[in-house]
Amino acid sequence: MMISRRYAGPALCVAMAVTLVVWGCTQGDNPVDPPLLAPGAPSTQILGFPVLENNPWNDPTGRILSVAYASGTSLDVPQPPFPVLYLLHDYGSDGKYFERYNIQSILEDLYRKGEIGRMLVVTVDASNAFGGSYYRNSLASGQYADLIMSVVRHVEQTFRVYTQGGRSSRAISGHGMGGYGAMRFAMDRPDLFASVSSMSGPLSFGGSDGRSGVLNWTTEVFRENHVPDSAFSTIFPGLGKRFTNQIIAMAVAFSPRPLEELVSPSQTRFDSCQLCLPKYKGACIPENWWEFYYCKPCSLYESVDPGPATLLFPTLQKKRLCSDSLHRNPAPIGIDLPFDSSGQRSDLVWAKWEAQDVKSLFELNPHVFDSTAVYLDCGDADEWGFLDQNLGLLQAMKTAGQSHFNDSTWVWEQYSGFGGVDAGHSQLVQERLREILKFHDKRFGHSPGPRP
Amino acid sequence: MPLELTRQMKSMWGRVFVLMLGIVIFTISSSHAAGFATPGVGIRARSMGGAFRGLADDWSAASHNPAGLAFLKSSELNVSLGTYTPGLSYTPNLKANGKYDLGFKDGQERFPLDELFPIPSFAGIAVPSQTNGWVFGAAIFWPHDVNYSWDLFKAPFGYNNDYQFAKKNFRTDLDVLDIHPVVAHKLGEDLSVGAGLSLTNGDLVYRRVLFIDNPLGAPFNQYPYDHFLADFQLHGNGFAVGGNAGLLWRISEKLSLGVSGQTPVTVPLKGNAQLNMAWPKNPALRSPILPSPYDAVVVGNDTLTSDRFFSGNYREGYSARSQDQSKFELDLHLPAQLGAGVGWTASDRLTLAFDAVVTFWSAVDRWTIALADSGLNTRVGHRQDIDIPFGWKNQVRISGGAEYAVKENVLLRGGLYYDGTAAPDSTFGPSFPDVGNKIGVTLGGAYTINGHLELAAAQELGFYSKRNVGNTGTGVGQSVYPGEYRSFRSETLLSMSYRF
Repeated sequence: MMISRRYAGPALCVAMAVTLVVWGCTQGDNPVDPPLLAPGAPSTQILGFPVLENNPWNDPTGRILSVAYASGTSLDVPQPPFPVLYLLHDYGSDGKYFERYNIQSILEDLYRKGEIGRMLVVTVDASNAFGGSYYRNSLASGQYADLIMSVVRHVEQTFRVYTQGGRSSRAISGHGMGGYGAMRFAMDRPDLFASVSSMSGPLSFGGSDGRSGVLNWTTEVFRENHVPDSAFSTIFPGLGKRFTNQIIAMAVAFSPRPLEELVSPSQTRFDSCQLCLPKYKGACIPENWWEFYYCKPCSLYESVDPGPATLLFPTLQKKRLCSDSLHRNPAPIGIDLPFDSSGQRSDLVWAKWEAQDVKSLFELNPHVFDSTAVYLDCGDADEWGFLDQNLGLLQAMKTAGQSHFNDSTWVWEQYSGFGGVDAGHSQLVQERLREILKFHDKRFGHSPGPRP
Repeated sequence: MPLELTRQMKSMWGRVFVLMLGIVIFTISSSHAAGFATPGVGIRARSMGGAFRGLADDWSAASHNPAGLAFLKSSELNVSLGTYTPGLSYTPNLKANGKYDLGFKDGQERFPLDELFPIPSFAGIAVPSQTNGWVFGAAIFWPHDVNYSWDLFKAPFGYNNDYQFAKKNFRTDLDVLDIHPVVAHKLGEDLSVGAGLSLTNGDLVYRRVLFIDNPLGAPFNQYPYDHFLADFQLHGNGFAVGGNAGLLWRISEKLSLGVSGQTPVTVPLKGNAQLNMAWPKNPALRSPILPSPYDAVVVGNDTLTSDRFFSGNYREGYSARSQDQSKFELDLHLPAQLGAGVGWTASDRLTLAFDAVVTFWSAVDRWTIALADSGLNTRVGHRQDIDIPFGWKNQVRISGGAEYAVKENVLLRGGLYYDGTAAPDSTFGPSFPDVGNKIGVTLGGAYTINGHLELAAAQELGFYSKRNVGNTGTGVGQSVYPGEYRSFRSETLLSMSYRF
């Protein structure tokens, strides 16, 4: 159709206007933000646990028990029962440890997104005077493995949890020391837990080659305690002694020395010995709690020579106060470090550690996790060297059951940091917890009830 | 043309013009050239893809090549109006290491929050008959203009949303006004020179999220608290003087050559900056659990413990005071430009033009926002200055255009151009989203009534190459904003000139 020349200009303008409108209206709308999450915290209570009575350090029997669950779920009877994830805290912390990583909000968020179903997440304070019990029963600290079993019984008697499902309704996990503890419980009690996870746990004390791991800490421990300028027996926890504190806590858990095995125990004296204890016990104790000791280490061990790798500590029978100068002469407790004053591995002691070592135990029983889902993670900048320990266990597990990795029954996740944030031992826990929760949710062996 | 028909057409054109003016104001279009420059001034120049330095025969020569004004035969008054609203999208991909949320709305295609910004320009050129080839004039236009507001951020998980960031949490509103007196002179029948002053006023509103290093020790500095969040904004303005100059050589009756350049201008912006800290709310970290100095930060005379940083906001006497203000100074570097163009009168009806222009965007290397006195108190330290890297590169724009006289008083124009992007991936972000290299198509027309009044319109469609900024983990969310950027440009310009 011919358009008259007189209308060409106006027609052009109209065409341009239409083009303008069409193009101009193509801009989209921004997605609507999801509703805000209300801040929340797990419910906590202090429960008395008789299994901790008469512990050598008079550590409290009353322990914080933290229970988290998504607020969209309910403990009310009409709702289906909960499966339970027992989440064990790290060394130097307590029952509120995972609050700092927003465990409650994570549960809310994942549940709201439908990424997990209902579950209870339970954490109990398993700290002791040395910063952490490693969840073991030890004559040098107390019955902390029994503590966890008491917690399981308490939870199943108190809360509306799914007990008929047996092991498939329970999972256990932990970070650092808690990761170790979780793996040990899963190995020791496969009848209880269908899935286990460990975040940055010390799972192979000797490292990937069996001769490194915690043995590599020797140099740092000696440096922190000025050995050999000072006697080996003066090694003691204290301010800034990161490796010393950690390895002593492990030795308390793994290689305590009974009183009757001590050489010349009658010679042991602790006159004017002032024990250093954390001031902020019971609060949220950070990973580096030992930096907050106020007291100075004991220094009167020279009169005792219990053995080349043994340290002696006074036990305290009374209430511990940081500022007390304790003039007592209590019965000593000995612990054996895995290396002696020359820095060499003490084979006798090491045998005790290997008896508690996840990798060693796994190699003795490679089928221990055959019916257990396992999730392991560790950061590539773990300052304790736990990555190498995890890789040691991983190698053993792959040798024993590569098919479990292939079908994702067993999962290994090595994570990395990002600009300014190295993937250190306690970094990125908040995001790692998400993966842990999703992992265990999938392994709960029954329908956990409706998802939102 | 019969008088009746002329009246009808006048009426029709008037109605169409008013209609288009309304559409321009109330609909959405977008406009942007490389860097933060506007695409240029003058509807004739714009209609021909920006190729105008060799022609330079209307008021906009004041900007493109002032020498061309010397050949004007009549004085001219002009008013033009364009509008733009950001017409692009950004899909953020800022998760640290691909999985750790930093608070950005990752994975969602986000659009700027629409705002309509009409950009007028005004000009008056006097061609006196008794001044021996001297021509004077002045123009007012906006050579640089950026208006982008985004809703890209929400405090990440673990902050418990106690601090609500503004909806426009990223905002750039940069207006550079050029009041441009100009003079041109014929050096002979075929040669002219011209120069102008750029009396430049800059005005900047800028807002973004800042990550503030957390100086506290473990466990207070663990993700997502490895840094604290701050809502930073400023508003300032300043004045500076620059200039441009040009030369036009009419080689023959049909061929002309123009060369022109614009000096760089540094506008010293001064104003007020404000910072609001967005403290997280984390009960487990809120209690003062450790003795000083292990969880404390000394800032001035204050010793602040962890409870001040993990209690959320708006709790006077409990949380740290979360707002501070400071004067600031910022040197806003505007780039120099150098270009050349050829104009060719191919026939009585057809005129062609070609231009090549280099814009020296490398002048925009970084912004250093210098804060006065002790700077901004973040409560975990002081920020003395805030550095925003640009690292822009010089760019060439190549354009060509044609004008065809349908009738003596009806002109059709079209053009094509290529304009490179100045911004590298390493510093790219939504505040100055010069998304990619552009290929633009322009089309316009003009109608002259009674030989004096010219009504003109132009439409430009610009096609940007898509940009994917990779997440390398370095500077993410601070100096670079990874993700996918898309842009399309559609702009309409209306103009009315009166020549006498």
